[in-house]
Amino acid sequence: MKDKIVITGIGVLSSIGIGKDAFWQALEEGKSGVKPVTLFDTSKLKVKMGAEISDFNPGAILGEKGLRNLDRATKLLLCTGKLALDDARLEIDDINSNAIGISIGTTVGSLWSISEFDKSALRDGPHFVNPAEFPNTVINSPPSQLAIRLKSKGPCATISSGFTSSLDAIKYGIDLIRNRRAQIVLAGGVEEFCEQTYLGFYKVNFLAGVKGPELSCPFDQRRNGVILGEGSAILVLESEESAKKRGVDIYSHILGFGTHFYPYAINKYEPQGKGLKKAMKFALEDAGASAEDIDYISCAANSMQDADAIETASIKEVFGKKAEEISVTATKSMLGETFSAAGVLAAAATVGAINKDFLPPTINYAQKDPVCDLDCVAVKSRAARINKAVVNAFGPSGSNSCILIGK
Amino acid sequence: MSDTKTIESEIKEIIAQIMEVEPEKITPSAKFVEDLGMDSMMALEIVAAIEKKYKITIPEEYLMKLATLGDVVAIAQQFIGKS
Amino acid sequence: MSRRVVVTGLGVVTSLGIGKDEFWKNLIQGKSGISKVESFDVSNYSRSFGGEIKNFQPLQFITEREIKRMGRASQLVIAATELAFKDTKIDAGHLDSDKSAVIIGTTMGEANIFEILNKAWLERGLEKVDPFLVGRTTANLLSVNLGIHYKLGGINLVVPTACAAGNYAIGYGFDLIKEGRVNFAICGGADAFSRIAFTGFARLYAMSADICQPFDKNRKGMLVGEGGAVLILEPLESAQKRGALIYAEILGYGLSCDAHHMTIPSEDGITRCIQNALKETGVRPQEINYISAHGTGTAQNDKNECIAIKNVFGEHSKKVAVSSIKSMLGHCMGAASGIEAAACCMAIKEDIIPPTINYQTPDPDCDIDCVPNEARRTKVNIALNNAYAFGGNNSCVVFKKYER
Repeated sequence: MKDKIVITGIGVLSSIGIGKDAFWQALEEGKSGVKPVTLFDTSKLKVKMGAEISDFNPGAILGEKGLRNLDRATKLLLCTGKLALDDARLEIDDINSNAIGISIGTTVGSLWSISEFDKSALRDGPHFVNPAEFPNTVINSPPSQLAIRLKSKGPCATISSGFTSSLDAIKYGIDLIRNRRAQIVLAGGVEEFCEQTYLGFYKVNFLAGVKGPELSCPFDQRRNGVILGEGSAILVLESEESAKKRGVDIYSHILGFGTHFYPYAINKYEPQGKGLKKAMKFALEDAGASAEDIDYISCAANSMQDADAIETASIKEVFGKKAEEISVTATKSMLGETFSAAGVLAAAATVGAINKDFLPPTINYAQKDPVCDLDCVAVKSRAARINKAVVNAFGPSGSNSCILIGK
Repeated sequence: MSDTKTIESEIKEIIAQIMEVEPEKITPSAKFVEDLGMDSMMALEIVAAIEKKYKITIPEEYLMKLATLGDVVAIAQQFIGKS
Repeated sequence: MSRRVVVTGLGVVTSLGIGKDEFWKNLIQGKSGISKVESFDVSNYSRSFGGEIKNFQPLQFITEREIKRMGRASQLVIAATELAFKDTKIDAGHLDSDKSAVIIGTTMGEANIFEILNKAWLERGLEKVDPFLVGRTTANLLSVNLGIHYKLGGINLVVPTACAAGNYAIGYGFDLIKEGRVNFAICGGADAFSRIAFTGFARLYAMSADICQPFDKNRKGMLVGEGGAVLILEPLESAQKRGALIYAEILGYGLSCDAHHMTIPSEDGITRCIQNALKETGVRPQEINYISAHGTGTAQNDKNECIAIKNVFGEHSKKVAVSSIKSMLGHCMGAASGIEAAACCMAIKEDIIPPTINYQTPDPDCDIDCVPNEARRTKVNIALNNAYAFGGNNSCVVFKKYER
């Protein structure tokens, strides 16, 4: 019998709220995290908007010491880790440290650091780089720095699978627990807002505002690209037995997981959603659930023309008639596209929805697209009891993952 | 041409910043490792910052010899003088 | 479900040879893959040697059209996979995408593309940079490009746990097959020779000026290398059914985290890692014949690794052979533990242990049997593959001889 996996703590840093409570509150209010970019100069670009975490003050959460050489992604993750740990009422000490693991999804986590380190070598000569910046250039740096700060000595893993990274990291964490390599795992993801990623997305025409309004408006007729965002979230995972032993509250159960990479082409969505359909089917199978059991779907829809249509069609095929009764939200309407962190942010949002009995809205929705005709909880959140929900993550280039969360 | 006192206070500031301790704690004879908790990466970072500031290169062998502020200033001056 | 997992194919692209036969031949002859760095200008560096692969011809494995769209690390891992498929005589077209996995480890992803991009950025400004370059730098592309090349779907991800990445990938592939989630796993690691890594290690004073001498008293540090390595993993039953050659069985693995420092290793962390591996697999220290060490050749790593080995093996630490093939290849980053895993498989199959070359002066702090300079013919029943990464991410995979 597989261990039942539960979520006992949540840490969130997002453009709409810092900390789980502020985040859930903001979701219910339909707040938008999108605003003019401040972290770098966009004057030469046609687009100006992003979903940054404004006034990010890691010292307030972590204390001022030991942050000097850390990059933004690492600081985001350290904050999230601290918040998650406190929320789970978990103290790491010499006795339990070996049993506490970390599993984080991040793909471009150190892009800024890699870039800056290399540029400083090119500009000033290789001898005058700052040696303390070199460790930031490895992609596993943020989770490792988290382990150092928390003194968690169990397995520490980093997963890079693009848009599905944080859901895949959550699955890796679940496997650590079921294979008895860890008792408790801090699982999630992080992606920082940086010029390199922004320009990268801009150059391949992924950003909104060039061919249409600069809005994150998933499922809306006017959608024409993403608004890039940033964020981090960590879910504290353990077996139900472990949670009961610790006497802590359980937020939700993770009932199932499915993933399927479908080979198509780099940076292009596969038009039939073959991989996404499989991921959802596998998640339902893994949970021993059927379409009938699902009340809510947290979509990966990110305001791209094809992506949102593909997800809608895939949901209709997998859920059949039931699709007409399920509410489907695109939280990226509020958070923007946070890439590797998207999955766990959506999962954290869904746990909030389940616990607080509400459906997060899809904001900026004004013009209907007949091809995206599911109930997307347009504009305003609604009260609702959610027993079981599905959280999707997928991207161009073929990755698709899906997680099933229940009360 | 900086004098010893200026170099000493500049280096003290670099070290204080990197080790995140108050400058007053960095007396000429306070031991970096035993008294101030320096590790090998911080040592490297300090040397790198000094090299960059004064545009000098301190050979690797000297890293072992930097036990106190006094040592660092003496060695830095040696190489600043040379350049 | 709990199935036995075996290695049925090996593919390696290294500075000691392309393909497992050439690689193994040079490995046991104690050849060196180190040469003067040529892929970028080292004239204003204090170091100039590394383990570049100078005879890698991507066109032998990948079409020109594909090569244009991917970085060197992707090319290395696809080439390694081609070699592994040939080795195990499998046609990728016959694989079931619903039951397959591609898991690749790396340290720097497509660092080469970054390096081109950064240079162009500084020289011409970011707006003038080729628009498609940024989209090709993300680390996940190593497994994505592999999946697209073979039109293979399924579980697909990159584990960028730096110098331990190959082991992590192999370990996860092992788990997936053991529990029945997949029936076929392509697991390994790749990294292209990176100017960024070279700059960093040189600046940390961790790099040798000429040769890599693990465990030697006068060892002066590591050398940067590059490579690609892939192991094909299958359930024992499938391998037997199709009459595949079995290199070795994977019994399990151990992971741990130092939680100490990004670059300074902790002997406690690596001791626990080996102990975890032994605990999970039920293997006793006395049963181990060979340890493929992490053995980077730095003062710190080799000393700590020997302490950890003594902690775990006690008296037996003098009897177990411990060699570091980084003495020949340099440190191939994300590919290192994949290449070393392939070497473990060959050692088990051939009953030959590769040497630690460049060994001249014993170090009392490293008084293990490091198989100095010459390969050794001896029965290899169980081998451990150690790999420890930046950030204190430690791994140890256990390989065993499979006998009918």
